[in-house]
Amino acid sequence: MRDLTIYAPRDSNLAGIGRFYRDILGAHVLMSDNDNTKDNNKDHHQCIVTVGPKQTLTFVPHPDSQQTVRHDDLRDEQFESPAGFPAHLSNYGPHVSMYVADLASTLERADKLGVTYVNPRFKRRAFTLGEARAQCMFRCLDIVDPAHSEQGVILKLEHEVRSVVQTNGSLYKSCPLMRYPTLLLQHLVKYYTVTVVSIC
Amino acid sequence: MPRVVTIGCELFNWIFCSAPRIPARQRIYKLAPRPCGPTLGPISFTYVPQGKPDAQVLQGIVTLAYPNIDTVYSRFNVAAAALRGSQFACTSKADNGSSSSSNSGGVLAVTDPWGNQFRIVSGAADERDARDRQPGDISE
Repeated sequence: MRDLTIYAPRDSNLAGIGRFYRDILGAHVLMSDNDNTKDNNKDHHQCIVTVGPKQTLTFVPHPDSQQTVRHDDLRDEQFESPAGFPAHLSNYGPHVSMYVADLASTLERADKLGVTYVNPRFKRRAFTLGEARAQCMFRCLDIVDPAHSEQGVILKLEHEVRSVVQTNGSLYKSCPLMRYPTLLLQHLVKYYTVTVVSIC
Repeated sequence: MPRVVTIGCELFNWIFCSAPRIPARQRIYKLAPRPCGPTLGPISFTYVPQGKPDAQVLQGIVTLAYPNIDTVYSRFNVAAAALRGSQFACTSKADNGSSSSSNSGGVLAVTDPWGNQFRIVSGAADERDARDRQPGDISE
């Protein structure tokens, strides 16, 4: 898979999406809107995130300006969160799964930004860092510009953020990387996330 | 339409990969034949076109690179008849976007039976992700 392009609403803060992937998920941003040229140069009205050595995740405005863009499908299924945690709606929209080198620090950044999410329709539910470590994953739904979080959600797109390894050091069962650990692999994982796209 | 959906999942795995490549995925097919899980190198994507109530359709485009898109194109053509009545479509375009009768060196614009959009492009030999691949038979 060379690229996954996600349509965003017109006039979305694509630079902010780039900052979300760079500052929160630790990805490299190849190209993104420059805040100063956003309205003047349509060629730059996109955000391209590196999510693998030969793979990108791209955000562009929907080509049909009349089309409503929505990647979430939230439904209230009366799920009760554990005491002290917020209630969440089930999302039946597509989700993007990706592996990160350091799940704990990524979760910390996402939690600080207030974008962590639990999808009740899945059995694995990580409300805490301990649960995230045990399940090798956590989710976030809202893409928020970390530099302008007061502006709110840019786009709702569910992410399943996975760890390459389990707490015992073994490879996570669904990780597509087959050899671990090797110095080469650790190097690659450090600098690139691996994206597994799921629409389920 | 339900017949098309069920057949479409199996056909789409065949189109994309020639064969399912993860044993786990094969087990899924036996339990519930509708989810699609093409696995391409170290990358996989799964979708459940069955949906609740409608098939999930991504608002975006998935771009897949193949060493030889002629082979993929031929499989699309074979599948087209079986997928008639669905949204399935495959258009060959030149790199500049114009329609072309020949797909060599060009791009295939594909709509799956449920409306998801794909771009099939020719990939360079070194484009294959060298980190590893999923277990299972090598398809393409």
